Amino acid sequence: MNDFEEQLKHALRRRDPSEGFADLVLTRLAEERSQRPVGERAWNLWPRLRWVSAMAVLILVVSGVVYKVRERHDEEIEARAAKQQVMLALRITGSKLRIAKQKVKAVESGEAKTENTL
Amino acid sequence: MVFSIAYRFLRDRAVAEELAQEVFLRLYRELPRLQSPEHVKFWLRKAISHRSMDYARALRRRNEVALEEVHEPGVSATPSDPLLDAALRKLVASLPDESRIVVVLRYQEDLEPTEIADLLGISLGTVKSRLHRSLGLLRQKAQRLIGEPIR
Repeated sequence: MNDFEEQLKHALRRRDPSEGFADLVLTRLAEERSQRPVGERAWNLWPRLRWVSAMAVLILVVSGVVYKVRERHDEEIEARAAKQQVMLALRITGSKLRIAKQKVKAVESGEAKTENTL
Repeated sequence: MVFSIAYRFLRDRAVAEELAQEVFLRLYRELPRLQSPEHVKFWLRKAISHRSMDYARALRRRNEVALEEVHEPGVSATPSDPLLDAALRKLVASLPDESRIVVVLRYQEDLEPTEIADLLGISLGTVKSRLHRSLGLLRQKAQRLIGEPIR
């Protein structure tokens, strides 16, 4: 700091409030405390109660979210199993159709040979 | 500290005491949320700075005598003179609100520019430029008053 800044610091040094200032603050504080509604006072008396209720709400919200996530997960597993079953059924149907087709072809080629010899 | 910031900013003892009382009452309500003595100190400085600026703004809106309109004192003085102190205080009072609070926090509360920026919620660059501009202005006006260059 240069001289000017030091001078400024000196000029702006702290000042004390008038005597009785602290008493006045305490009086106003006491007045305010006595005017505060009972409910509000009770609310302020138990900050732990506020903490506990906030935690309860938080737990409710979190467990709700967890329940929903689990429900969705179970639905996904069921849907996947159903899909696999459908795919299996389709595969079985497909192989049966192939066998039937081969048999039909064999029958058709047998008939054609008979016609030719006749 | 609390009273003094308001007093140096507003230059009105009665109003400064009233605002300081308000801030202490608010502190009582905020106390459960404040974690340490340092936090309390920070909160008090912040609360009184903002409350004082709000008061000055409201005062101007009501068209009362604005602090910026305080005339430069007509004194001739030498450095370290109580008269120069008084003149400097009046010159500080003539600064715009935003610069005045920065000067009070810097030279009365001895806060670093980073702390002032944090307290007022403005950037460090803004604090530095306000300080620089205010010092230049104060030096210029003080030189005019005492009639000799100031370092």
